[in-house]
Amino acid sequence: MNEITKKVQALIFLSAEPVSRNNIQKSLNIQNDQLDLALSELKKHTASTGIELLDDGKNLQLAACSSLLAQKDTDVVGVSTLSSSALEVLAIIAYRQPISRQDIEEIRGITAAQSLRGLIEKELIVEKRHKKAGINYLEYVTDISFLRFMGIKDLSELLDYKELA
Amino acid sequence: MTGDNPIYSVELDNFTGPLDLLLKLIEAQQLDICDISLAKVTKDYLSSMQTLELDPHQANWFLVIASKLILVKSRALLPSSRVETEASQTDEQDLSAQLRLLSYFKNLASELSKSSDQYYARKNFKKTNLASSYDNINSQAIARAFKQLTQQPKLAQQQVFKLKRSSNIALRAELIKKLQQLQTLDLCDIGAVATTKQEKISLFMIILELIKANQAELRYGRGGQKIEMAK
Repeated sequence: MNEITKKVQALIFLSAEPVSRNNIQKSLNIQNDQLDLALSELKKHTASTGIELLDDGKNLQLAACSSLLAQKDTDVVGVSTLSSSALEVLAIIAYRQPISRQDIEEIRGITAAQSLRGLIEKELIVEKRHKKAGINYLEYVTDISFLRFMGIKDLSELLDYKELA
Repeated sequence: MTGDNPIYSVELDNFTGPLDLLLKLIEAQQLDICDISLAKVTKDYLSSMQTLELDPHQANWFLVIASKLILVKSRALLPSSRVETEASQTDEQDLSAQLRLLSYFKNLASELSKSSDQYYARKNFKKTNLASSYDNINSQAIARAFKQLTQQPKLAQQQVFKLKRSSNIALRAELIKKLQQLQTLDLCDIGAVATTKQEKISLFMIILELIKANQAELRYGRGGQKIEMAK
């Protein structure tokens, strides 16, 4: 591994929380393409270890696959803990993100407030605010915890993601 | 709820909204999602609505779909002009398309629920006991922990971390934050923030309260001699 890759790995490892790409770039004073190169090398390196690099395009996190560990040692939210409503909302957000609450409700034909609240509490989704033509929009996107929850390294590993997103 | 034919009975406990209910009624009658199916399940939908106990927030969503279905059904039964037919076809197609989209996402949600593997991040681990001896902490050990807390503080440059002198609430929050950062805290370092006996007792009470709230634990550190506070 080259020096930048080692530093990127060290920074991500140090934090138990996800680390944003921006923070790493600022901290190491490197450009976006340098970070991409380092991450690509790091992903290759971690592929042969018990640790994987999760990357949702914005945040990065090192994690261990559940197949290597015992459930009793962790406090991860299980798939079975989500209601069918919450799972539906999660699927809609995962494949249509960023998406507004109104659009989610239009697809499901019912209010989504409770499911959204639950998913935010479980840190599976986050709110994303942006301004367009002077109007504030509130939309929802998946959080990096969603990758952990699904056991995938990035969103492209979701079933038919490229065709649907 | 049952339709006209008891074969088409459908359990209504497991649906997540009016469109979902419609989907289940269509599936129960083994129909495709199309305009004809919508007209056929209208009666079932309306009768099932009567049996449901909906709160006002949900009821309006069900009523919107009910009104669309009644429109679909009435247009199917009554002769209409060409312009009206085209308009009604659009309404019906919109509802059919909405149902297809929901059905599609329900399938995706079902796929998501099948995911068996997950990734665990460091913060998801309940314990990191890897470096400690696993002896149970008993009352003697707790007494020893208090002694460690009240020991002569280390020199400032030997301390791994320093706590700020503040209120008990702020001190508790700071301890949690430090635990998250460092995973284990030396009791002697924690004790350095308190100068009087009263302050040290109060500090120990905070630690015990954190343990009671499952936010921290006391355990033997490496070597099994010293007790430390851990996450």
